[in-house]
Amino acid sequence: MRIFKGSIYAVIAKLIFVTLAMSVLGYLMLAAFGTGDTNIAIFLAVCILIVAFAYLTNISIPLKFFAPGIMFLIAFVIVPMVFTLSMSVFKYQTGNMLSKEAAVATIDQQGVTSDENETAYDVVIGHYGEKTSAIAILGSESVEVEGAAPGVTAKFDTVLGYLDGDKANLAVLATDTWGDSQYAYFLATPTVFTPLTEEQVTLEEVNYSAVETKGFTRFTKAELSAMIETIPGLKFKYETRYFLKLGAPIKGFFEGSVNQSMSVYTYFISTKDKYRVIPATDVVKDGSGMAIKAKNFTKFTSAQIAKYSEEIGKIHLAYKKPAPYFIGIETLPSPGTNFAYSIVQIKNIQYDKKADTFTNVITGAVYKDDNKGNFRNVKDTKDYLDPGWRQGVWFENFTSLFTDTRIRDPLVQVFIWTIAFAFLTVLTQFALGLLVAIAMDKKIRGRGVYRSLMILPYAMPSIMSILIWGGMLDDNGAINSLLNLNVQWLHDPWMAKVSVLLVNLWLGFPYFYLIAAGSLQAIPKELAESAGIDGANPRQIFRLITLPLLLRMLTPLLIASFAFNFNNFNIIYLLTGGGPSFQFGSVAGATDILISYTYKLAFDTTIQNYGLASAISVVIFIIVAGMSMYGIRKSKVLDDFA
Amino acid sequence: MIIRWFQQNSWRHFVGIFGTIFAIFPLYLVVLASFSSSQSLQSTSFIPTSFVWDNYTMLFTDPTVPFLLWMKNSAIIAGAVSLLSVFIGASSAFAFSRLRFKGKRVGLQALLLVQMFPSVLALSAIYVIMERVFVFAPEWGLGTLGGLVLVYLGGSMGVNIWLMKGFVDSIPLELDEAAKVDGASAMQTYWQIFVPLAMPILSVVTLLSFIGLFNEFILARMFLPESEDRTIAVGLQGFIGGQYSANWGPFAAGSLLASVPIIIVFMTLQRYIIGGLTAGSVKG
Repeated sequence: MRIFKGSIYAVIAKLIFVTLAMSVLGYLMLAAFGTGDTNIAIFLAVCILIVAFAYLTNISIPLKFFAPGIMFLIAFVIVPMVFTLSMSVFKYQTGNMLSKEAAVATIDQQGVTSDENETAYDVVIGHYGEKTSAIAILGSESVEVEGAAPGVTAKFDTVLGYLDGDKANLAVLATDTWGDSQYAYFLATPTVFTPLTEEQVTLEEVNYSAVETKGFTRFTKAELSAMIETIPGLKFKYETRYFLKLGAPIKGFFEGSVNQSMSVYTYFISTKDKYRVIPATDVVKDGSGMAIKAKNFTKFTSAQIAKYSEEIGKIHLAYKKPAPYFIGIETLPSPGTNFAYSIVQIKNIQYDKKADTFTNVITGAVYKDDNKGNFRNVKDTKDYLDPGWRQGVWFENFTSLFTDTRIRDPLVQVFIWTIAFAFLTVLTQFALGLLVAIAMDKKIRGRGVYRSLMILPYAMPSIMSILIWGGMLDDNGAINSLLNLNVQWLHDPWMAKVSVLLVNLWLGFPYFYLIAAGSLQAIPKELAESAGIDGANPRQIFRLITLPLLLRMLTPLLIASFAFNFNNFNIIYLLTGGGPSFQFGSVAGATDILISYTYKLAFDTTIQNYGLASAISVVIFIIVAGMSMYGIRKSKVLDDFA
Repeated sequence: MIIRWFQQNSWRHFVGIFGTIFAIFPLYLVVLASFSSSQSLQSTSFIPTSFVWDNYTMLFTDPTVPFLLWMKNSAIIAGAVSLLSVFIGASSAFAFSRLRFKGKRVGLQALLLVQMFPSVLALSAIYVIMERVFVFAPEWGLGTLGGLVLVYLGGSMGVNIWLMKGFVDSIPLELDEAAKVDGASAMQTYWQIFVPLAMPILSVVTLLSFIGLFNEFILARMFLPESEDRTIAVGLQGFIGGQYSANWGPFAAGSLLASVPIIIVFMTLQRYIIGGLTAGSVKG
């Protein structure tokens, strides 16, 4: 008679579950394909196949039980683990994170510098001609021109000289011969304009023009003829906005006229391949004279700008000087405004695909792949291009653990402390736990109360207790103030070690108390009794009978506890953060254990070195796995399964 | 007579009293700090100098400190993960314990090995994967409760399968065999014999798993940076994380409130939990 029959409900429930799981996985798979995450999509597809194979066929019964667990394990434990371990044979650190292709593209993209004058334009972004893909900019270039100052028609008779006996300190002394100006006389240097009165100057006889004043020395004829070429280029200050230019000399006097400089705009449209200067008549200007519309040029709408924004960010537009000069767009126009900000740049780093080298066209330096993840200057090996890439370096990370003193020295210290920390933790926790267990191994009054209170540290969420201890052990914390001490519990290298052990003892001794109490119960009382009859005293009984038996029973747990504490990240990271540091700025600290040190190497420093951290992870993994395997063999758990 | 009594019992009391003081004095100080008006753990006496509820009221009224949200997040995450992981893991544990199949030994060893890998170190890989997941499934990627639940589920699988297998081995085989004789398939044995029998064990593993997840800090901090998404551990750490902004009063109050339920459950179920501990687990 069959008692167990496939119930119709069970079958329906199974079908619903399987369909649901497959459709969720299928939906995610399609989504992943859609965004180009092919690896994840393939993984999800395999998951769907496994689900179908496990639950819709009867080929493998165990798979029915394993399938969900295995999928989670692979996705979130095994894949990250393999990824992490495989990184140990790569140079993989801040500055070397990308693939080589991406690094080349980035260097190529970033290998530009502004031109000598740091020329920049406000430009309108649009397209030239009909096609919207022909991205173009309409720019207005301001040019300085000089012209007569408005409303100032006065001309001055001037003499050229210098001040205070210094011939480099040029000055002109000017006279308003015709009485057109409010200034009858003035002295002007290129930067200072000083009106003078008649009393302050000495006039010559013919035109009654000023030729001398205090501190002013007139150039001699010979001196003037030596500098005649430069005179038309000189500018002297006039009032605040204008300047005085000197005309041709007449009998030692120069005609000075008041000028101003103005900026006027010239206009250009630039596309990828051509820079076109366009006449002012072809453009529509805004209030300040800058072009906002032009013939053959259509401004992009904000939607179009959004659509092409990636391309716009990368585009190289022609400049009036030929390549390697180009115009690049730095920022897009903010909504509601016309202009984008663009600057003239020089493409100074050029990639040669065939030779796999970069060349700096300005300095001529050649950068070659150094097989260590960077393009390095052939002549100057200290000079390399950023960014680098993840480069396979075989076992370099591992060998550097042993050969590079900057890595080896802290690592050795950290390793020794890790062993000491795990060992001393297990020893102290076990010793105190055992002591308490033996003390409580008799029905004394209040045992229940002692027990409940003593396991409180174990019942409390450890993360809270660690943080609380951190506060109490602080320099100004409760321990120092209550005991009237001034001990640097967390900041002195040795006291920090003591503190870590003390806190861990507090956290862990109740566990060993509970374990040891259970084991003591399990030791047959007859053994102790017969030893007592044979004349052994209690101490001997403990040393020769109870302890060996206990140790034998608890060895697997002691090993497990050692392995756990070997990687006890939380207590170190949250209590001391691994500190205090060996030296100022060093990553490793006095209480760092391997795992916290590795974590800090990978995540907590400015130069995050994943490659090195992975190499150390591999070492940790081997040690801990070895220990655990040994522990398991001792406890013979696996032997039950032949 | 008295000397004899002393030799026999008083040292036991001495050890008991010493152990008790060592165990409870930090907790006592936290209780004091939580009722103190000063913001530090700098108590100068064991006797309370002030008694105010400010730290507690702040947790429930200050909008910048969404304490209840944090508790809710922790409860949801730890609850969902511990239930799901036991639900999923139990079947694997059952298969490892009861079924015969090729590669069982290798599978068990592989599981143990995988479990030995310190998950803290796989952080960057997990980050990269979940960043990608966020692109096509925004509900389950980086920065979401759902994503953290997935990652935790994967991470707790190894430990829980291993732990439950240890328990399951202690359930007598005879019942399974009887069921098999009566014609039960492996699935039926699992659902109709094994699951009801193992219910107490599964509950204990769920609880241990819950406590472990409650204590998780690094992944939670990386995954959920937004204040209102945080778990209680990350949120409370924020009070005292800043070097110059240590805020011990509210921290003490918050950690007490967060710990009390766990302590109560632990104390009530300690008999079962301790059974699990000897099977080789170490509580986080």
